[in-house]
Amino acid sequence: MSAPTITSIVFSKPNYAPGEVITATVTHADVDRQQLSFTATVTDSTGASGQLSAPFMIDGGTVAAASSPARVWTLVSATANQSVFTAIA
Amino acid sequence: MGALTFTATVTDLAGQVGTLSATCTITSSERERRDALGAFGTYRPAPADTGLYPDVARAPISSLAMSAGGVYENKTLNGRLSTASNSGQTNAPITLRNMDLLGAVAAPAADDACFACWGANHIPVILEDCRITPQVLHYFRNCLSGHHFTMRRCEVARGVDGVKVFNTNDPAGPLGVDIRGSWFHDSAWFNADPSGTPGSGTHNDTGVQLLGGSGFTFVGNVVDGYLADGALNTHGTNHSNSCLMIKPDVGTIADVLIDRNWLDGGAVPINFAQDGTARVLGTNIVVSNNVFGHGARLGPDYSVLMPASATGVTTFGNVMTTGEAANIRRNG
Repeated sequence: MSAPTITSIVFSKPNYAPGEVITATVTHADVDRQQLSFTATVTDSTGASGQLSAPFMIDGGTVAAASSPARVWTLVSATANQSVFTAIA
Repeated sequence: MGALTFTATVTDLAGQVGTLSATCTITSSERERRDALGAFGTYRPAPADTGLYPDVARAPISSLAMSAGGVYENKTLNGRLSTASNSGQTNAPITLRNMDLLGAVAAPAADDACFACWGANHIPVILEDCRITPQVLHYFRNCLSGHHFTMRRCEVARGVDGVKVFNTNDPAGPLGVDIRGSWFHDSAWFNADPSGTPGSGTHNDTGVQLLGGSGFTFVGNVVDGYLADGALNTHGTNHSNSCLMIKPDVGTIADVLIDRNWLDGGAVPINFAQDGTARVLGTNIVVSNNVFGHGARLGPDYSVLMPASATGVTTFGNVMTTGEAANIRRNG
């Protein structure tokens, strides 16, 4: 099992004035992580069938943010490989 | 100004961890923020990166006496400013910072400027984070005229010309002009040009009209070559004449660098012309790495226009905003 990695952190700009919103986009990867879908199918004696699917994740993880000096970081959007955090400068 | 170190940590279900840190900067004033923007030419100045500080108040004054080495800050000058002749070009420069230069109210009788920087042998001037916009528009009124000045992160607007560069005391001599990180926009157009002929229209150069001399540097600026207040020129469009007009009306021109600017509008963004006299476009005139918009009145085929006789002009690395090479035309 491989450890997850963070491949980049990109700020919306290099310099912020006090009170401005800092946006940090974190790109991460985990080779073990997979988004799968489980599908069940029921078929009766006439051949008619019903089906339902549900997604599930293998080795899902969490992303956390911190800073020095400290700020309150809010996760504003997330996908399997990218998380966007904001804080007030 | 301080650094903020951001650390992100990703943890999977097995408890394995990946982490990475990156640093941004928190500035404590507008001046600090601008100082941290980087070298001129490496960033395109936004309007908020030029002109007055929004976080520093300015006191109103009606005149300003300047002396060598003086630093004059945080004032709104309701009046014309000029440098004193023979005050000494080798003296320590005058610095103007966060100054709002409004020019005079009374109509000028001849070609003039909010800041007349043309006295012979005057003390050099540094303008940093200033705004130069006439409070009363007039077909004789430009924003700044003269020589031996440095301009950093200034906003220049609403003159007939933005900046006129020349030295009638030494027409082909040293100019000592260096303009960087500034924003030029909104030229004041008049139906009658300074000759007073109705319908002739003023000849607006939104950024610079360079008329003569040696030693002019223009790096990392934005020039939007259009007319103020939606005015229409004699062609029925909103374009000024140029972003930069370079013609030796006062003296032979040499040693010019126009590099890494963002230029759009005008009939032609950069327009070179000969004077038809012994004064000529001379040597070591370089136009490089500029980015041109597609808005020129004559079309994107005219990013730089010059006469074939301007053999001292070198161009390279100039592109359109869409990435293709800019058109450099040598006509006639």
